[in-house]
Amino acid sequence: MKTLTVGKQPFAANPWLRVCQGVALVGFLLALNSMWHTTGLSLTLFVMLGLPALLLSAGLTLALLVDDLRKRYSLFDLEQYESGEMIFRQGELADRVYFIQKGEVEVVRAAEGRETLLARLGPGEFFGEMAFFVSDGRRTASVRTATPVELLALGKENFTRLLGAVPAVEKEFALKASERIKAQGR
Amino acid sequence: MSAVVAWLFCFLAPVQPVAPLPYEIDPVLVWLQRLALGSALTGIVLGLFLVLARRRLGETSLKWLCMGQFVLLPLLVVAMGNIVGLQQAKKVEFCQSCHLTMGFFVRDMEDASSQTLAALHYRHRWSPEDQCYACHASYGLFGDVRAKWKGLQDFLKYYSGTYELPVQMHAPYRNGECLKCHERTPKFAESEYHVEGLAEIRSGALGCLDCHGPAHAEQVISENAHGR
Repeated sequence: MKTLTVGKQPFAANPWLRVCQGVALVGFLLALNSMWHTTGLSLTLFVMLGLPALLLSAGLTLALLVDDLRKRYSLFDLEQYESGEMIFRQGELADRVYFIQKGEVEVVRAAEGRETLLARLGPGEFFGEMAFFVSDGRRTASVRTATPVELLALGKENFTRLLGAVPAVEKEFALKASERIKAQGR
Repeated sequence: MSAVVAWLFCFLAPVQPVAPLPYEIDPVLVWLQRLALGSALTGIVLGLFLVLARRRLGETSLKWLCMGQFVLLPLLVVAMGNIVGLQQAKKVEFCQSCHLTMGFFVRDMEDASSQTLAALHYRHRWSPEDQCYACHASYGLFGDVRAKWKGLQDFLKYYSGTYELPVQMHAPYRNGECLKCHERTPKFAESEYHVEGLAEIRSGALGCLDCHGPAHAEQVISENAHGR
């Protein structure tokens, strides 16, 4: 079984891994030389080059692993907005779906120079999914905050993977999207 | 270039300390050295394995391997390498590896008929090991650090060719290096010269070597010219 992490390259393909390998190899060779036969030269080379190389390798690898873990397990980004801020605009390319934790947002659609309020959404509701069910992947409406809000944002990659993995969830989202499209048409 | 060549030859250079007796060996140091060597070797082997097989490994296996090879082993080698390196750096053959012209003094020290202070200390086992270090590094950890810091400066001067001839001691020999062992001994206290002149001895106004020298055999200046 191969574990895949959505929306990022496999760990083995990370180019910084090669840097870690090279740096660590230099450090290990200098350490081996110094431990095998400690002379002024071998010890000084170990202290001046080997130690920094080994510490750099350890630090860099830890940073890579921590970054990988963060990306792997942090499916949702928490976003906070003040009242009256625009979250996204109609026509923009969609890259995430939002789940409202706190506060309220207004969904507005502009047509023929006129702005229509389509819905006012609150905690427990979601928005931004419709763009993934229409052909061009663009936002069909704008969303702005009506109060200070706290949102959980799920990236496009993770969202589409979720829909693929759990058909029941896809059905629910598709149903909600079609209801909204109908509502927009009225 | 000379530094690179010298480094390569470190692998080939024979280890030639005076063979210690079994009960003179510190088992902790021996095991630390084995652990450091083993860790460094494991690191190299694992590194080569990773180069060849990293794309065939699963994500989780690869990350655990990286954690071991690039984090744990390096930290282990750094810790062990420092301890072992500092201990090894106190040995006479280590000092002589850079202080090439000191061979003359080492030979005198090992000469059974020599009456110099270094030879007497060596012969009577007053400083049973690390003979250079015992008298030329100040007491305690600070002394170790200062000696290594000075050594590093000398190393850079030597390989960059920025030293000046004739090579001289960077400072007059301090009485403290003798007093750190001798001052509180009964033999020291028995001497009326020591008791009466203690303040002068401590201050350095009266040098230990003024009465007890020479510390080493005299060496002709041409031997001390580093062949530059």
